[in-house]
Order: sequence, then structure tokens, then C-alpha cells
Amino acid sequence: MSYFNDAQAGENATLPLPPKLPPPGDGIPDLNGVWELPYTPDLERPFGGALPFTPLGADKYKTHLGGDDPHGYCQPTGPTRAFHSPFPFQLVQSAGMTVVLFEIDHNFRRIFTDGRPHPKDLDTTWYGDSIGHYEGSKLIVDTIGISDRSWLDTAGHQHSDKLHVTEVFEKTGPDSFSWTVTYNDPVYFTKPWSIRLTAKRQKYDIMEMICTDNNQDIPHYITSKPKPQ
Amino acid sequence: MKTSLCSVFALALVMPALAHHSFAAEYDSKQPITLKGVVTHLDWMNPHVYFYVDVADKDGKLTRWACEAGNPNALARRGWKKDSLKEGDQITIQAFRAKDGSNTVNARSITLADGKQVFAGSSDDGGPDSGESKGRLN
Repeated sequence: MSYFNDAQAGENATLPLPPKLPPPGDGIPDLNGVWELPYTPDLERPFGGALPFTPLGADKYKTHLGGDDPHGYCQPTGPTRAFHSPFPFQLVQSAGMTVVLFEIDHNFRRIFTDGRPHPKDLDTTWYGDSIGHYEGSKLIVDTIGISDRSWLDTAGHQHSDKLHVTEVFEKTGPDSFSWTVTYNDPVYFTKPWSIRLTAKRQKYDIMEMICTDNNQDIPHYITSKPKPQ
Repeated sequence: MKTSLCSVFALALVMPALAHHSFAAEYDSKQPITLKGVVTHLDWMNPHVYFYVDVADKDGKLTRWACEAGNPNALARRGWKKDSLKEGDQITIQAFRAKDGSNTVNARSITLADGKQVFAGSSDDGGPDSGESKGRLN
């Protein structure tokens, strides 16, 4: 018995095998390995000032309560915050797909590089839908369909489900790559804005990190959410 | 063992370890508190290490405090082990109280039984003394 019919399994189930790509390092950047970006709890730091808020975006940021941060309840980070959290991640490249294994929350992202488009009638999800392609030394990733439930950072910057993220992974040496992110969300921001951080290769492995294991903070948050009974 | 632990704390200061929540979400920078007591147990678990101390008042009545520290993965990479703080250790903790008034604190530094002071908090969480210039070994 199958738990899913064809429609539920989604478009991925019926696509042809991905095209054969050159191995990483032979025409495309080799991003395989365990990496860590500098912990960036506030995106205004790398941006260099206040983000270009719309009135709604400004109000959401100004009035937010740190105790409402979804990740404080062990809900997912969304596609980009996991990268600049204080935890490493592993990139695994294969023909047609790069997988990101995040230590934080023991979670993952898949970036399809086999030429497929974003699915039609995409439902929003915590990590959205990511497709990518290579341009020389760069892996360029396009992500849409991101649920507005995630926050962009620990400082409380938020976004709508219209958020469109573009990430550029560019090798800058054997043990480093730059990660340039452009956030385009016309609901929260007046114009697209970008940050750039540099990832360093790590000698240690990623570890298990189960956020719900011992989250004793919830009863103590100053929050607008109902208190647990 | 204590030297190793001190090194661990010093490194933990340099390398931030908190993404789970901001300091202000739970703790009050205007409510510093010093706790001198005995470690009862330690939860070496995600997303934060918690350890517990019994603090005696002048009449000897014990009150148990819950102390939040950094993330175990980050601490482990810097040499921490789950028994780095053990039941029965007598320590003094510089901390900040939870805003809700409970006996919960965010530990910033610990003075060990031998007098060495080490950083215990999470760097760059927006809380006091979270910069790299404070909390190193004295």
C-alpha cells in the first residue's frame, strides 16, 4: 500500500532523471564539505544600517517581541537564517541537486540544479522551493514559496510569503566561499536588499541538534502568544 | 580538569553559541543576581545546557535555581563534557534573572571552587557582557 497517490507525491515523482553534470571541481565549484558562516543575529550588521522597510515592515520590526520568535519554540528557521546561525552545515553536491544538511534543528534544504522550474501552484513551506544553476564559479539559487511564519534573524526582522530569495555561492578559495543573499519582498521592503558573508571550511563534523529536546525557555518568554497550560 | 573547563569557557566567549532566542526574549539586563550554591545536576541537552544549583539563605533554607548556559554542541567543540559541572560542585554564578520572576537565570560567568572566574553565557545574544572583551579568565 502506498501512502501517497501520484498527485500527492508531487511533480518531483514524475520528472526524468537529472542530466549528468560534471563532477564538482570540473567546471562547477566544489562546495562539498562542512562549513560555517559567521553568526549573524542581526542582518542590519552586514547590510550596514536599517533595512529599507515599508511602513508595515518597519512597524512589524519596531513592535516585535523577542519572545514571539518562532525559533524560540523550535519552529524552523526558514531557508536563510539557518545558514547564519551559530551552527555549521554540510553541503552535498550531486548531479542535479545540492543538499544542505543544517546542524541547527537537524534539518535540510534541497536545491535542484537539473533545470526544473519552480512547481506551479506552490504552497508555502518553512524552507520554500529552491532551484539553482551554475554560472562559472557560482551556484545561483532561487527560492520562493517561503511561509511568512519564519523570521529572517534573531533580531526580529520578518517577511511576507511574497519573499523571493536569491543566493549566490561563490568559491573564493579552497576553504572558503562567499554567500550573497538578496531579499526581495515588496510587502515588507521598498526594494531588494543584499548581504554578503564568507563561509569557512570546518574540520569538525556536524552534530545532532534536536531543538525540542530540552526547550525549557517557553514558559518564561515575554510573548504575545498564549502561555502554555 | 578545571583548567580545561576554564579554557572551554574562554573559547565559548569568543565563539557565539546562541540562536535559539534573544536575551531580551526572556531575561532582564536590569536584574543582575549573584548565586552562590551547590550544583545539583546538569542537563546536557539542546537547545541550551541547563544546570541547577541549590542556594541556601541565612537560615539554611535551600532554593533551587535553574541556570541557562550555551548550546551543548558549541560547548563540546570547545572541550566541554557533560560532566564538566558535576553534582556537588560549589560555584558562584553572575547571572541575570528571567523577566517573569521565576528562579531562572541566564548565567554569564561562573566562579569555580578554586576561585577561577569563567564565562558561561552565550556571546552575541544581545545580553550584558556578551562581547569578547569581558568574561575571560581572571
